[in-house]
Amino acid sequence: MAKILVVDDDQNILNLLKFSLSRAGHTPILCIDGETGLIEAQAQKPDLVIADVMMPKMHGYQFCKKLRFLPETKNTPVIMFSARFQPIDRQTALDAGASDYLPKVISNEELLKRIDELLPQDSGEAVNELLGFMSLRGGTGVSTLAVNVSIALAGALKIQPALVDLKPIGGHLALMLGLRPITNVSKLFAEEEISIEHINNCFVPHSSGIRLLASVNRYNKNILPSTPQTASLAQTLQDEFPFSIFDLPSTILEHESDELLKKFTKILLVLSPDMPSLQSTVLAVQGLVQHGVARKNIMLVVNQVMPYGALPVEDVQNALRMPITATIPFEPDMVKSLNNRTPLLFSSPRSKAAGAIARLANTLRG
Amino acid sequence: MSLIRPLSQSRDRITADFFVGSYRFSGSVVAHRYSMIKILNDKATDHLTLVDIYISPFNKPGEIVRTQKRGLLIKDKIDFILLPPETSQDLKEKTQRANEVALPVYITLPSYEIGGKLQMHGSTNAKALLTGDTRKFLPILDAMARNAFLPDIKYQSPVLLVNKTRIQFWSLGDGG
Repeated sequence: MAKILVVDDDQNILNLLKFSLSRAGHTPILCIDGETGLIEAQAQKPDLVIADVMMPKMHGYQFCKKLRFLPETKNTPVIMFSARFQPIDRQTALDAGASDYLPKVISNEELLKRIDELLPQDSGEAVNELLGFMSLRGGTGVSTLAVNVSIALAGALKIQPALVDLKPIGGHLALMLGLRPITNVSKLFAEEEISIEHINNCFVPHSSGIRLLASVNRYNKNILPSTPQTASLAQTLQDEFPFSIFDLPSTILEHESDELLKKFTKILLVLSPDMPSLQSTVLAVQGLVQHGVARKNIMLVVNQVMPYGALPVEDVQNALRMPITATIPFEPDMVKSLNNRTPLLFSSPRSKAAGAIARLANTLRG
Repeated sequence: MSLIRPLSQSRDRITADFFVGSYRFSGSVVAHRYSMIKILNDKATDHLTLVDIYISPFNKPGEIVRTQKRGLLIKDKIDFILLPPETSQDLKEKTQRANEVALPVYITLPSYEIGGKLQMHGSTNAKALLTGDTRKFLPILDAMARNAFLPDIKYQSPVLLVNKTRIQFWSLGDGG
């Protein structure tokens, strides 16, 4: 199993974690303060680090920032935990480079589950993921999911995923992220050949680590996703980034988009649990298959965008005869997060919907 | 069952966030099995002894600018206190009584405004609670505290303890 470095000034907690981690098959390395923690991190190269925030000499945020500067641990997942429990504390930890922030009252089972989720997967040959989010029906929360899943991936993997708003007009990803882009995807399509340098010049960075290719802010008929340039964009991104996420327009199946659609390693069809959405999803699956997408690469995500009156998820699954990969529960704070231009994973990170999105991101990591 | 227990359980300490003037102090009170409310309302001492203290300025409450092993907080100077979720949930359950009603309350303190619910007897009026009630700190349920100067900075807790002597304005009932 994994080598896990635990840094806490409380000997009782070190003892408890030693027992718990050992019993789960891990090898714990225990340190009583941040300074010895850094020395051990360099010497032992742990697979994961658990650190308290409130420690004397060097507090947890300082410790985490220093870990990120060490070549041995710059990409190591770090779980910070603390008795400080406000959202601002979680954000401070994530800003310091932590992969997750947990309260000290977390149960043993929850902690071990989170450790398993964050430990690097032994996947053999790595394949960069190209994810497409789409729905034929409007109002199912496709863009919201694309944004929040990207944030979850950025936080969990400490990577900078590429997020592409491919809506020909009226894409909302920049708005949802609170960004005011001075450049957008149309600049790319003015180039004869799309190179990574061109793409890098068009990225709008977000504090979560996401690099956004924003939607055009003026209609341009030359920027429809049927152009070979979108396929070229997708290929270049896949060559360079471990995760690239596309927010696809609902009209994607109306165009000659085979070349683009076939490149996606996964296409997430987002549906709300209502009859029109069911009907659209059936058509979307048929359309994707006809465009050459392998059925195994299509994943269904039920997004409960209404508080009541929804069809039961079991009925949805039975009607579509396909497994539901994830169900995102109704979240009253979702609208508030849109209006505040702060994605749900930041504004209500402990909500049920945020938890479901994080689990979906974890599934997408393989 | 929790493996990592809150410090309040593991070492007879209560860890909490104390908001005093321009600072947030995160630290522990050695409780000797007393509740935080009992310790705060104990008239025999005018201060709290804190250990393992982490200090943040009010405008950057996530940042730790200083740590101190031990220090004193003057009870009268504390604006309000946030208890950790497990402790406050327990306190919330103890605070709620069948013959009382939870009324919406809005309070302003120097630099903060607080919204939540106040558990009180139906016949008690607001003035009596402020002047007649012997408790120095009142529990506000389902509370949200917001910095008046930086409204994006806000704190939530099932129970927040507010110092009555620091209250500038308070109002019972929903806002109009």
